[in-house]
Amino acid sequence: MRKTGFTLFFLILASCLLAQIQFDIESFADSTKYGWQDWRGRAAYREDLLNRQEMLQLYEMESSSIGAAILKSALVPGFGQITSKAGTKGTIFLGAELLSLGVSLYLYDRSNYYYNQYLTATQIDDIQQYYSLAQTPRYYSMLFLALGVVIWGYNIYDVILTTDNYNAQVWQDILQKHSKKAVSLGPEGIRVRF
Amino acid sequence: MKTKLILAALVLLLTAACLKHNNPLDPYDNPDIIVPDQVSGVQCFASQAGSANKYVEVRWIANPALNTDGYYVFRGLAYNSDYAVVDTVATNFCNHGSEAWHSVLPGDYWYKVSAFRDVYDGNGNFLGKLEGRRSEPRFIRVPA
Repeated sequence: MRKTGFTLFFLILASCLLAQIQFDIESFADSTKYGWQDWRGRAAYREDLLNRQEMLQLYEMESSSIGAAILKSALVPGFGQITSKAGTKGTIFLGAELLSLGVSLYLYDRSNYYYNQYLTATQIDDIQQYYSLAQTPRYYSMLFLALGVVIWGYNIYDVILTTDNYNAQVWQDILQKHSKKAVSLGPEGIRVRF
Repeated sequence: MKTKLILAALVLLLTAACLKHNNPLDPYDNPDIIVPDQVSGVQCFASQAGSANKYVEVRWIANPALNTDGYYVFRGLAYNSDYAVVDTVATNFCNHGSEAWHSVLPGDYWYKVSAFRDVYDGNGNFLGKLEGRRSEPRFIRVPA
């Protein structure tokens, strides 16, 4: 039993030594196979990769999702633009939407008031006059409602463009900030740019 | 194509905005409803000065029975003021002051008259009284 254990141990040890002899450490450490001339090239590549990862992380944090922006603008017109740092545009969309819907609602209410008068009228002049008074604001109410729908639709179209532009701007800013970094820490040590 | 779509949407919108003529007395699209003629030839006569019972007699040209079931008599305090119904009669004559609930005091008044017609649906249910156009106001001074 003891003999078998020792035999097994020596067999494993022998196979490990054999594997070490067969493993070509020079070929493994040869950095030229990736296009690097020496260890400096490899270090520069690593630094660049880390930089890109850092920039990507920053972009993920600061950029806006187009889907979320569309949803926000669909629920509250202009809200998607506001979160994409286009506050003026967002406020204009919100104001225009509120104004058109508000005017539409006001005219609809006026129309309903006159229509109720029409329904209870018994005199021929009153019947015709109240119907006419109810019909005109109803037309305008529908037109303002349609305007509200058009503004809402354009707001959805615009939030896609605005978010795209915002994301592109975020990426440009990140690139600029990185290129302007005065002090950077790398494998070669601390680098200071003047 | 785009213009046609926009036009179609606009037409649809305006059609949807059309209100229904739901008033049962509205003659629009309902040839069964006959609108009473406008009353004409209104004349007013006041009681003599010093008489104990003040009254105003109002006469007008009777409408054809085909379109009229009765008349409303209105009184106002000025040509363009609000007018109130002071009597409802079936003939082309009204003595305002002859009933206990009439109130005629010395002063200046304007009288108007309009005709009405009872409207029924196809099943004979009463829908209401459709009032025609009112006459031109007629001035009368009731002396003290």
